[in-house]
Amino acid sequence: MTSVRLERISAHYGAARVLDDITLAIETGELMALVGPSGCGKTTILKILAGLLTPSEGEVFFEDRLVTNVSAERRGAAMVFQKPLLFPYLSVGENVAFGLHMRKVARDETRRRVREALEWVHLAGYESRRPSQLSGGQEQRVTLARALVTQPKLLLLDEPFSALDESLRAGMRLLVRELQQRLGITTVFVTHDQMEAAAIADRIALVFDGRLEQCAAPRDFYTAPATLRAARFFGWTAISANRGTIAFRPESVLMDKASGVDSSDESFDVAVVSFLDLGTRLLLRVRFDTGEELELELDPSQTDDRRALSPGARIRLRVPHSAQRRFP
Amino acid sequence: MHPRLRLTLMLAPAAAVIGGLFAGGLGLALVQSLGYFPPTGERSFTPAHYARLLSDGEFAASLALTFALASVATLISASAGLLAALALRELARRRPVFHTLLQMPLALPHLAMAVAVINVIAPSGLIARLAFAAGLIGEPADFPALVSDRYGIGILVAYVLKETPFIAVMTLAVLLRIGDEYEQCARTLGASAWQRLRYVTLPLVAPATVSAALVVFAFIFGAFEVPYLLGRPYPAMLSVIAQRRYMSTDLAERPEAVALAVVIAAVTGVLVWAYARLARAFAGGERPVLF
Repeated sequence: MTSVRLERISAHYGAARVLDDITLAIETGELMALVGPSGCGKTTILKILAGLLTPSEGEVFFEDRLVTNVSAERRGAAMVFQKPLLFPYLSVGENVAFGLHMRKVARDETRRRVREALEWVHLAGYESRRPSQLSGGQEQRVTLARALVTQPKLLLLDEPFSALDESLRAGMRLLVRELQQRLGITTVFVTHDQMEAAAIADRIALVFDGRLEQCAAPRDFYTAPATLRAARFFGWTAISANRGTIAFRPESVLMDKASGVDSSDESFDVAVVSFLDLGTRLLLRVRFDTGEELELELDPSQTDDRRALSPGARIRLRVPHSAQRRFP
Repeated sequence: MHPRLRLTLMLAPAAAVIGGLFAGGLGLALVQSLGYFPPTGERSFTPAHYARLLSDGEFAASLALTFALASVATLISASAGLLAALALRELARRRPVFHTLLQMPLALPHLAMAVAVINVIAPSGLIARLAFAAGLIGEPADFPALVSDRYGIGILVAYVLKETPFIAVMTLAVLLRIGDEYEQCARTLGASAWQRLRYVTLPLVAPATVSAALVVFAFIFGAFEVPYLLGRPYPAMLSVIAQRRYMSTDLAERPEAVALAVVIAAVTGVLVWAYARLARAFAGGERPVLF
């Protein structure tokens, strides 16, 4: 259990700069999600935290101890990779015991801790199985146990569930969150999926092109994104308006019925492109005068006149002031 | 047409060639080695030729030499090939041309390698002449006999030079395929450089290296041209004796020569079985249990 600090980290692969001046503090026992599109530098940050890469500039601290040049094997940051990477020539029990074996932990203690770690991931009694006998979800649970059993100062997860199907992913997310909280392990979780990040993390660090775009609680990204790119990444719709760009969440859009209009609400005249009545909601595709198109879901109570929504019809949409963000 | 019948018919031409030439030849050899050899009037089956081989001093010396040379050459090639693969791994990852360069000696025939070895280490070879020119030896003939010598050093040198790149290529292919994530994962679990080699890299490449080594051993055990060119008449390797007796003007030696070839085939057969067993066990992620 350790607080972790990255200070002014930059990294290069050859001539290409992949990280640019990243400063980030992760609190003790916190689960921080690193989110961003593919190739934005998330995994590089993780490898720098693990000690697998040395930054070209900047420092890494665990608590107040400078660890920038401490090698991965001595740093105490266990990493779970995208692929399970179970050693195929070892049994499940031997795989989980690997880190303890490397540190020459006594045999009895190793056996006890391996049993306990397998219980954490609901695989008690699997010690003698071969990795080839496990399902994808079980394999990733074993890798989680293999990392946790070493009692790492920092747990690093690099898109560990990306190869699993959605129903398994949800369960794995819950398991990671539950164990992380129970054991109080400071954790960094890399994902390109903003929903996954919001579901699991205490805070999210959003990375674009090797720079930290915003670091905040998940809710803030849905209510107050700091930049237009952050807003777009978290599902906001952006429309060019007079005086810059206006962003809003598609679910906050209302049909303008001229009543209860706040003068600061933004209104748009749009053309209906297509329309589906799904009973409990109306699915609408509209085209703005700027040519941009947008898919919307409206509450059926907003209009009784379905003909007004037929393709080609013009309607007026309103975005309440409280649900908009303006960006220059 | 029934799919099975169709498959059988499609495989028939290849099966006929393999069955006729390989299995047929092997069957014929077995029959001859058991004494059925009409040209000398022998039409009864007898284990006498095998019994004579077993009591033959030349056979015993040859078997020992063959086994020792194949084992030592395999051991040296496997170790050197493994080390070469580990050393060249980074280079081959960044510059694939090195992987290709390493494959080039594979295209060289064994015969050419044998001639090259003669040209370099024989008393009339390059090294002897250089040593003479440097004044290290009185005349080229004073150079120690490394070809046609008692211990088969020339044979050993030729096989090590030829088989090391083969094992290196096989091992390197696996090293490149598995990448470095296993080792990175082991690092974050606290494994030092030595522990990563011992507990991660070596076990991961072992299936490829051990399989390649088995192939090399089986090949050397039965190969003919290198010991024929670089060996001495006594003790000679098994294949050389088999050839000599087979070509003998005395037809009565023929069944014994064939019995020798059957012994070589049997040893190779056991190795192929071990290879298949190993490959299957490694593919299933199991610890191989051979015997």
